[in-house]
Amino acid sequence: MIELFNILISTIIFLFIFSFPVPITSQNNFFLNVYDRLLINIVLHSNFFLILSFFNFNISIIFFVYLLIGFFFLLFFLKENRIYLKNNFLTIFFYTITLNCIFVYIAQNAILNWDGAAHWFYKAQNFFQESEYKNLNTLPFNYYPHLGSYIWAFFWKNSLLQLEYIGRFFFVFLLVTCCFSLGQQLNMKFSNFEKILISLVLIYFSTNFFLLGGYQEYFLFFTFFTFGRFFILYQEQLKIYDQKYLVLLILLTSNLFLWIKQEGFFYFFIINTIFLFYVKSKIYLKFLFFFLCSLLVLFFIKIRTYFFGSVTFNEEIVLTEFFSSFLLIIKNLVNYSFYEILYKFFLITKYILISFIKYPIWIVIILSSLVLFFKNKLSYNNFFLSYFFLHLALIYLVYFIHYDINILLPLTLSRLIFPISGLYVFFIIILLNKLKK
Amino acid sequence: MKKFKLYFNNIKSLYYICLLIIIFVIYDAFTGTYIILKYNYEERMEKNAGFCDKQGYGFIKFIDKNYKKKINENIPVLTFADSPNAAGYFFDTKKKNSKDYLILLSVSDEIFFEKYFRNYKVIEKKYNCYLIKKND
Repeated sequence: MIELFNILISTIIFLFIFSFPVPITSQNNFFLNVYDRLLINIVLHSNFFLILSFFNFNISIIFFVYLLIGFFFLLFFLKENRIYLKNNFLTIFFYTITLNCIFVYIAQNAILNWDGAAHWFYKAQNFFQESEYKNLNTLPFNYYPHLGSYIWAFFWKNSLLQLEYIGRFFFVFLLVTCCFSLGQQLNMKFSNFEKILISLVLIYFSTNFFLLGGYQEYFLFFTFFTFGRFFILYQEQLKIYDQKYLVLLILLTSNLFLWIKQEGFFYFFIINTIFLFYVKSKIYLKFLFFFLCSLLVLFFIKIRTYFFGSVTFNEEIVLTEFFSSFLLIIKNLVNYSFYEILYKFFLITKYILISFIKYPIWIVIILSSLVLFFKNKLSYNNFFLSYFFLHLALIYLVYFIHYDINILLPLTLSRLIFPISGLYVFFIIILLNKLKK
Repeated sequence: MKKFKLYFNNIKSLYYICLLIIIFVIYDAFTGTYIILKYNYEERMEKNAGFCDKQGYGFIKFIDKNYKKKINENIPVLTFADSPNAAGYFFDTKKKNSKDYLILLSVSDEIFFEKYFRNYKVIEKKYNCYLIKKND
């Protein structure tokens, strides 16, 4: 019974912790719904967690401070919270019910899946047992980033029964918040029931319990989603005053890419380059963004080098010297016969298509995108299209340099495809809004 | 209760109730709650992650419980099942990894065991799982 109670109060703890610094029920900005504000708070806190992870602070004390601040925020905005709860009771009700149902599903199974058990859990254990950041060096796959594991350990350590799976609820919280944020972006023609229904359908299509078994894909999904949301807001917001904040938020969101998974390093470069290329903004703001992005990468490289000796990746496409890695790719390609190149190309394409079918959310996204692209030209089509093709190009590149992709492709490729659905789920909402004008 | 009545007093409420039931059914909430109430965490883990099969949670836990004081190190785990192992649950980041002891899970073939682990002696054996120690 205590375990069930522990599961049920997790939702309240998440809402408490992520209810500040941006007050979630404030009516100041009409562009942002409650779930958008939650997303902003998650981004801010995730960056703060990242900084905390490098120091050996007691995470129970941090949690206590968090709860205290959350409590004061609740009291300070009590009136707004009560009004919001009164007006949106059913949305909040279904939001918490969905969260709890998925929590229960995870709790009853409780086990970790492949990468979760083999890599990410060891990192979470490191922080759970209050070992230092540099101790990650002694663990398997030490070159994998650690942010998701730190947050996992944070909620695990600060749960009533200190059960491992409670830390993983954070990833569910991210998914459900993203989908409810989408539902709230539907226009006024949609009834409250329809908005809730669409949010729930999106959650159902995006949920993959295997990936909730310790994988970091939902954190990446959240980062792509938040990036996409801020990008759209940026394009639609004309007031320069707000744009500055949005640029900062986009920067902080993209910083998460670097620290969630190693492929995030490449996502960071691609998505920010395309952002700079397509964004309608003043030139000084672009320069500032570029400068700050470079600082974030330098910080990442500096930290990794300081604690682990070098920035290491699974694949050999990035070696210490970029030039030698470039030569390696060329050398590998030259060694292949035409037949081999063709075979690899078709094999990778086959598994990319399989990956799209594997996750139902992609089917809905593809159908929505097709209708949108052919019927209604969006002003920011190019950004999304460019990222999509560059992401695919990265996948082809990574697998082309491997000699034996027959084993690797079925196991890993789908996990490179799923998270970017976070960037494209907006097409479903844009289409629905256009259909019901 | 008043609020509840206020929200659920018209035909629309039927849609919401249906939606609620659908959520419960999709995520198997009733069965899940029942399982959580009936079996505690350890029982569920042993059921889902296996004793000697699957991730070998039960066997590693058994070794951890009985040999923790004697072997004050993290014992590496080698599994022959098509599954990750549950060593992470009992991993202590402050301890060293043992070079003498080894846990083997789901060893299907005794001949295989005798061939490749000739230099080890068996400390504990349950079903087809072993705790072995390197000969001095």
